[in-house]
Amino acid sequence: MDSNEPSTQHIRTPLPQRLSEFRRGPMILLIWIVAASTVGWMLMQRFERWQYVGVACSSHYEITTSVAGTIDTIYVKQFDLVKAGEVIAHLDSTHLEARIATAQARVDQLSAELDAARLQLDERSTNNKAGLVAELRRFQIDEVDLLLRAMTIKVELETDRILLERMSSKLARTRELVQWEAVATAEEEDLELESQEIARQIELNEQLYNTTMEKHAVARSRRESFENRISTRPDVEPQLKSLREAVRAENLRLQEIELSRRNLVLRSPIAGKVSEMHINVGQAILAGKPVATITEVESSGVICYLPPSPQQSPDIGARVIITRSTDHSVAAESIVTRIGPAVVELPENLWRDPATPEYGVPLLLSHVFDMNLIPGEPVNVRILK
Amino acid sequence: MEPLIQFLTSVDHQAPDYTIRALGLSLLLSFVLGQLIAWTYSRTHSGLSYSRSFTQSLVLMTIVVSLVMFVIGNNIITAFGLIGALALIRFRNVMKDTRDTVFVFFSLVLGMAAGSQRYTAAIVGSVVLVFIVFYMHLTAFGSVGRYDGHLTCRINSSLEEQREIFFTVLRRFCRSFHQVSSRQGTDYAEYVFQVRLRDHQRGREMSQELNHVEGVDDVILVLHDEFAEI
Repeated sequence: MDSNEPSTQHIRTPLPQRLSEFRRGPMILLIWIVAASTVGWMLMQRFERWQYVGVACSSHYEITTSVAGTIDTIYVKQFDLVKAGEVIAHLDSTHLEARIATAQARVDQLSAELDAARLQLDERSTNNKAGLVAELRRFQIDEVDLLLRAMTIKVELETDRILLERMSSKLARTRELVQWEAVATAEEEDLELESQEIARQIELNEQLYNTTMEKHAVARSRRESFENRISTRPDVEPQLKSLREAVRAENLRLQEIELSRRNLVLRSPIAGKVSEMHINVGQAILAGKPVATITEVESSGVICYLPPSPQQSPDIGARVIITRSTDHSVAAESIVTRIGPAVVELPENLWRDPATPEYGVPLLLSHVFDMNLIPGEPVNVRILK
Repeated sequence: MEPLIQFLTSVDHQAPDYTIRALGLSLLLSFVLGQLIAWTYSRTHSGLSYSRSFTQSLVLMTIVVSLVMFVIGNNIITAFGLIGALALIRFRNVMKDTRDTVFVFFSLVLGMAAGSQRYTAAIVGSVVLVFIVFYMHLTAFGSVGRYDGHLTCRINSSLEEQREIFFTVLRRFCRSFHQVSSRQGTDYAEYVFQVRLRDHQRGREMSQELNHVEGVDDVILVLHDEFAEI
């Protein structure tokens, strides 16, 4: 080759320089493209993500008292499982016992008055020789007497029932103590025997009460048929009339006592868990105040919230997919059963920002059986087209 | 168009989301859009005041501000605290470089994030930002220089054939070159070229070979450092 001729050998760019040029040029673009693609993908994920939020709901029942009183015994603690009808608490029955004692005294008084009236009327009928009137008075007296006897039995019944309830609570406490080996089993057995004895006594008295009331009904019908037979019905003796009215009034009071006694026992209306206890033993409580809140253990449905102006408003019966907000791999299908009428505030645990309340239109979705949702658990919902 | 509008309205939320996923999306989106802004600025800039530092600040500022909004959230007290701290720094220190301001701002935000117990935001934000700062440093992001240096020479005007040889040599050693100026004389012309060498180590060889070309004199190659831009 001529030395004046320039060389034509191709000059290759060395690798370090290539890398440096790549670093300063295409790599920037490449990184930007990767970042932009990632952003696009994340935004698409956000778009396709579960559309609406919801919460698993369940029924809450607040047990309230219908009478004022003092809490005597509480049988459950917070988060205990309870069955439907299980006794939650007892109100103190002391005032009721006082009322029963008053009723008993009143019944005794009426019985004494009846005896006095009977004597007086017997004398009068002997002197009067008016056989029909005397007969009628006798019927009337028998009727009132039977009613008084029934009331006496009833007073005894109410007393026994209150005693039985107290024994039951004592027995429940003793059983717990026996489990912890704090007391001997013999004490539990003694209490059980005593309770059984009272229960048996109550049963007998109930039978006796029913029998007496049947007799009273017979006596009344006998009186009425006698009254129908005589042509002119004589006026009821004023003394007997007032006695009859007093007995009637006292009978009504006894019914009141029975009702009050029933209201002393607070029972759970459903099976569930005690989610909240509002009272303590010895606390005075007014009528209508909550004692405990029972929550169903399993959720009965899901409430989903649409945005205030949703792009798509589902119809009742629309199919939806529900998934846990913490685990999207578990999903189940459900349907829309009801749509709320107005925009409401979402539960606080569904707010994205704790300081910013959110609102939505509630939808009630049917119960999802396979997911074992815990009441209050947040879920995500997508409405299927 | 309708799906696009639906997509754009659906990805927005009225209430912000403060999860780590949302933080990552915010920072990444800030980086992507900030870099777009920086490119637009560097490509459309005219004049002598171009600064690579300022171009990089455009990207970093978007990320830092995104982190600020994440840390502040809806807390007005934190927002006022930031304003106060910024004002204090601004009036106490005169920042000549925009990039310095960004770093001061970044330090403030990290302190706020840690102090307001947004530890995730502090850690993720600082990792992301440090990564991006180093990325920009390694890639010399914001550099507009495409050429490695400039070449001056004198070529005899009458020797056309030698001019061709000159350019052949130039094309052999340079990936690209661009004539910046020429000064025409009676017998010769002086040229200044911006050159981009295929091999930076062979610049001297190129000068020598060009000098050997008949009619070419006073070949001077000036290469500048890749980080010489400010």
